[in-house]
Amino acid sequence: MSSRKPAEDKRQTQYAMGRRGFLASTLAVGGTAALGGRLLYLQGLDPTGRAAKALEQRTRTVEVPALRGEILDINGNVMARTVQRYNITVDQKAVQDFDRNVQQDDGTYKSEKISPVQVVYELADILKMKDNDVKTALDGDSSYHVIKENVTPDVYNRISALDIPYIYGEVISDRLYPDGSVGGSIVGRYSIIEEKVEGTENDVQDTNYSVGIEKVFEEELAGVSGSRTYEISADGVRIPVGEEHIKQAENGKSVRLTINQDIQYFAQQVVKARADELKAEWACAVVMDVRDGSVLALADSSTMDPGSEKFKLEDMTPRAISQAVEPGSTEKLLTASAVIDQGLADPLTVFDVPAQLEIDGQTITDAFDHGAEKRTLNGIIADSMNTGTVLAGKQLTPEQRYDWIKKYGMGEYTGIELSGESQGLVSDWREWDVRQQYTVLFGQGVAQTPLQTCMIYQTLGNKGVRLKPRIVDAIIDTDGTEHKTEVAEGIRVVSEKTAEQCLTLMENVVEHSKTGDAKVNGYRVGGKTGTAEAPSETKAGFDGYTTSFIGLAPIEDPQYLVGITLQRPQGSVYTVGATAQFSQLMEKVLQTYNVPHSTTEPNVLPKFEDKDKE
Amino acid sequence: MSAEPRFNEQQASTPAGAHLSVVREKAASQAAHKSQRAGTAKQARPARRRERAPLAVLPSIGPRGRRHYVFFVVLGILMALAMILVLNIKITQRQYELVELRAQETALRQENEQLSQEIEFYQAPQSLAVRASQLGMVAAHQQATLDIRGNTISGTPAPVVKSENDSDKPDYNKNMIDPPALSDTDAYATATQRAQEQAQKEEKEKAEKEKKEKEAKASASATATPNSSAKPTPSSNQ
Repeated sequence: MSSRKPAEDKRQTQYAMGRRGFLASTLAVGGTAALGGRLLYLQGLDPTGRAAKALEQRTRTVEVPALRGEILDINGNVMARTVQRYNITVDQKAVQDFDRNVQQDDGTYKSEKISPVQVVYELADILKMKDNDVKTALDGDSSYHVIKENVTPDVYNRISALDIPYIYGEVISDRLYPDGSVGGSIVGRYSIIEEKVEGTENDVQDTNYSVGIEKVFEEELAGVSGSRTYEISADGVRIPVGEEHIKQAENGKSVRLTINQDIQYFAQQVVKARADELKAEWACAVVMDVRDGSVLALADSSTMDPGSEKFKLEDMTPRAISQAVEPGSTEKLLTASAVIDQGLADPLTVFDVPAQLEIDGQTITDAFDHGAEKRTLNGIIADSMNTGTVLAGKQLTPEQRYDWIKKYGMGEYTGIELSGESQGLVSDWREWDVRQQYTVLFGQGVAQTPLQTCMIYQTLGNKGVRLKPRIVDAIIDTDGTEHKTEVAEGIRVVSEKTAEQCLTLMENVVEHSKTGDAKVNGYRVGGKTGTAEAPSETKAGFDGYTTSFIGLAPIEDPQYLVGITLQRPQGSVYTVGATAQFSQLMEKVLQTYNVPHSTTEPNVLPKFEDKDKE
Repeated sequence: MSAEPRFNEQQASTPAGAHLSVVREKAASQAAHKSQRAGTAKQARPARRRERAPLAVLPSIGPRGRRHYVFFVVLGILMALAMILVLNIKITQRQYELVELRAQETALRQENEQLSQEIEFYQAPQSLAVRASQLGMVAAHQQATLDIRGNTISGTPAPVVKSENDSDKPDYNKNMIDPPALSDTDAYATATQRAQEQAQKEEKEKAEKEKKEKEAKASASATATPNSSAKPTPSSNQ
């Protein structure tokens, strides 16, 4: 029928529309598919690594340095700390005129052209450098040249405000020592020096030349540095939705010492005054708490200031631990304690002391002239008689003498947490010659550091138990948790009774002394003078004296020990002691720690058998 | 003739909606019906049947409805895009604020560090000793102790006695230790300046003292009296 045609036509036109539509939609889908495929190829498969390269270009990894820990004294005063500083650097290749927006008086901004010459003047003003020095720093071809190192943030901020495009500030950290030379050799010095690697032309490595606590506790103080990876945009702002990895830095822990900075200062003053007065080679002091071995001060007449640029090598370690000297008469208490502990004598045992002692072909003399006397052990020690000491001490065999000296820790490291300690020198008793076997009884023929000699008195003051000297009180974490260093168990050297009797001998030294220089107002004190002949460093024999005084207070229940040593003071041997200095320093220590005055009278024993002779 | 739309026979044989199978089936069945009844009379019925051609539902949407739908879809997309834009703007803004705050934190930390440094310099024992001396203080030695439990005083406190010893002898009461080498603090600069002033003052006093001693000696020898002691010297503040 003819009616079918329009229907067919309609169907055909519909199909015709369909065909165009089909073509259009095929093109659309095809195009989308092509684009999608290309996208997949570029970003998904990424054969040329372009996406990765782009990521690399905007990614920065910055090392987050760990903040070095502080070193504190026993009361929390800071003795070493790290601060932020800047190196001012210049990109010499970019030095040229630049425009600076300067705010005018009426509030508007005007652009000024600033020449390098003007920059030189501005920088020289702020950095306090000569104009010529700044000018030479800006001239050159290097893209990195340091104009001035170690400037404060204040100075850096003022330079930043100048908006000079070729001047940069590099963040560095600097170690400061607020106490300066007070305790300087104990705290030490943190020092990293860039050195050329051996055998190469340009390679450098950082070598650690630190000393003191800065060196011994390097691991705890240094901490662990972290890192921060982030994506950065062209204007230098971090892209917030970019990749970011943060590894937190572990800041260093702080070290709290047992040192009291006020006592340390006062001790340094006392020894420096005496050393200067007597023109001694050096003087040192040890202040210690005998009950736990804590060292309150290790003073030197000349110490290094870790913050300064110049210092002498010998000032870098406390001489109380680094210098081994012949102790002299202070060793007599060691001999007395050995003799008493072995039951061979007690303070009132009488000895027939001749004017000078002939023994095994050796002549032993005293520092003062006297006739033959019947002296108690107390009198022998009180007047520091070599003859009497040998009489008392010869009851011990040489092997026993050697064992006692070793039992008190001589010839071994004391165990204090410092570097540069000397072991001292105690030769084997089988190697002692005929004279040395007797002289060791009064402290000649052995070499001990002042700290080692003080440990004899620490033992006697601590009921006969020898402790390890300690200088670190606690390690403090970044969150404040304290880890106190334990007081190690002591070694029993003599019985408690022996120690008590030795304390009486020491008190009598002070009570019987003609000048009474060692006395401290209001307290019972005890101690021992020491005068040793100092072995010459250049030739055989002796050259000058090593004088010392080591004492305890309050003697009825000892708490503190002060030991002062002078090396080669000039003058008469009778006037170059350290007795008055002991009194000055001990008085200060007792007052600082509010030790109650002694309420009992000194226990004075006779020096001679015949009481009337006193 | 009625007003109803009239279909001619041609149109009746091809009803609208002829592409729909339902319509085609129905039309075919009707055509069959129609050929069956061709011989029957009743002209009116086929006409009615033709008039009552089946109505089909047209699926096409009116142009006005289409516009509403498109409008809302586009609006929805735009709003979604706008929200994303706002979110990104906010994030970036916060990032800039964060940078500014970090700069502020750094500035405050540096100021704190600088102030701490100044305090620590003043707290150093040698600095305290020097400053105390400049203020005229002296170290006390003879102290008494107060026992609060027993309400007792032990020892006799005594005021410091002015020492007559010559200032040449090293005295542990006079500071001998250099100030800490913290050369970039204001405190160090002030302290150095004060130390210089103090040194100048002491030099002057020493010169004056020596002059007075010379005069005393001269007058003593002139008057030939055995009194040769120098006049009491002005107390030199340490």
